[in-house]
Amino acid sequence: MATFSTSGQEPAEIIEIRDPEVDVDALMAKVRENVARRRAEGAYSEDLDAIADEVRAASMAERDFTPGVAGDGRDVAATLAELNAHWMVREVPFASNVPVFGPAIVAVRNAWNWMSTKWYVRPIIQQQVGFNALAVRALNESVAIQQDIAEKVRQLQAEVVLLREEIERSQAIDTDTGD
Amino acid sequence: MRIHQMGSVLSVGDAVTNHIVEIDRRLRAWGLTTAIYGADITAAPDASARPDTDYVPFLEDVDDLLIYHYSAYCENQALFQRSRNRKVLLYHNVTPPEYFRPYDPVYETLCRRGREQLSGMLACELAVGASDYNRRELVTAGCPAEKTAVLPYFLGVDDFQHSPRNEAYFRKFKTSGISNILFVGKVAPNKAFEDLIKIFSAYHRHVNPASRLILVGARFLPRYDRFLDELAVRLGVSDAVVFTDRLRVRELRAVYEAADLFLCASRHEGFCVPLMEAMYFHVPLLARAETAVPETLGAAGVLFHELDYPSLAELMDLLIRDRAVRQRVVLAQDARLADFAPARVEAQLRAVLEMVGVTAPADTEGK
Repeated sequence: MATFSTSGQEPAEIIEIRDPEVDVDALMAKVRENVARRRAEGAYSEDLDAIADEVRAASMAERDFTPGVAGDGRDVAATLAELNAHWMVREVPFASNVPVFGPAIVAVRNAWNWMSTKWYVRPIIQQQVGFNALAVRALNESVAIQQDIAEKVRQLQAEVVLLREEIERSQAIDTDTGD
Repeated sequence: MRIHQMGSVLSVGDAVTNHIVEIDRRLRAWGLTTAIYGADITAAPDASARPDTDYVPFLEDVDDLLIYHYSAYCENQALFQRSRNRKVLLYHNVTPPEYFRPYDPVYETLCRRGREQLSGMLACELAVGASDYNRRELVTAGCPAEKTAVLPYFLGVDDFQHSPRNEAYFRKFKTSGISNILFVGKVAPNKAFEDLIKIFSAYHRHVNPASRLILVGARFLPRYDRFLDELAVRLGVSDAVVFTDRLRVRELRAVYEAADLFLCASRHEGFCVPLMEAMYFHVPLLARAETAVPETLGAAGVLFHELDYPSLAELMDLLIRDRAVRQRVVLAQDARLADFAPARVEAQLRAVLEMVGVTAPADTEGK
């Protein structure tokens, strides 16, 4: 078995090949060489994870947040799912579609955002995320407890029905036998 | 003595359902009397499948054997708990609920209950994991190790062998000069389709624009689907990412035969049958080293531990275009697939039956 890190920055094991017949050294040397060559050409500069986080947040953000009232028919589970999807508050990268000057606008805005978020906004976001996480967790647990209680009530109601039938049957027997 | 098998939803193309049918096929070939039950059999592949309520008359038969396939919370698990048959729990694993939390509260709840109630299913003669990873979870849930065993999946090659590929579907994908990267599995968050799209985008944009990502599997989570669709658009690969939804065997065979690489980024698998299928079709594998995946691959395939996109993209290219590397990887996969040869899994099935006092007669169909 051989494991390799291709970033050259940390000893993390990124790739693992267990087949002893594979010339892993040669394979990984080729991978490193190709990564370096394409990086020199400007490839692989995008932050794919950040983009995915942004898209995930945006795809779930288009919601009607108008608070409902008790009994309005809104599904508790659906509301809870919304809460679970939105407790994490993220910084949104700035983008511009302005031709030619777009990249410059983005650079300036990003520089400003970096300054402002680092010193002012980020601590507030962290506090808000912490509060949101605790609040949503508490709601999740409350709903789970409520569901368990509802299930127990249903079971008890069923038992009550059975017991009533049992009592009625035994009373009928008592009547029949004249005891 | 009868052998009953019970599952939750029995449907065509489902790995658990296929396993039930394959086991049943062997049991009947060995001359045993069998029955298959499910909570929902409307899409069951086997016409002999019955609703689980048909099992109730057999609850008290102490000589019978009940094999319960546990892959999700289902109300018919109460029948397993009540049954006085000899009992085998066959654990296929249950997806951790956290994966569904952002997308669907119903699936999250079902998975949470499924995992919570596993410990309540262990009052049985034997608890069997579809992999050693699953077997260890059974031990963690409270089952004594000596009452556990492993029974891997039967690879349903008969279906592939008896179903010629859909030629039109094959030609649709096997277009000249296009490299096809394939993944097969339901479109669920634990299978990390977003990571597949990210890895593919690095490959498609920087290494090989003449490439396509084919994603085969049922789509059932609208919120997750929307996220994936928007991610593909944002990364500029939406024209090269194809969601086929669930496929019939003829079309599935066509995409496996058109594939140049099988890429798996799953974060949670109890076994991952499509890895076996990819080995069967000699498609080189690149897979995330998580949960049961390294065990299923053994010494075959290439595993990755981190999402180092540039390295993965370049490695994909070598696996697709370097003939020597590709042949060596496929050769190791062929060797691994032999470990799951039907005769070997049949021997393991016989061993499992013997552990609960059922001696299977010799094959009456001469297999």
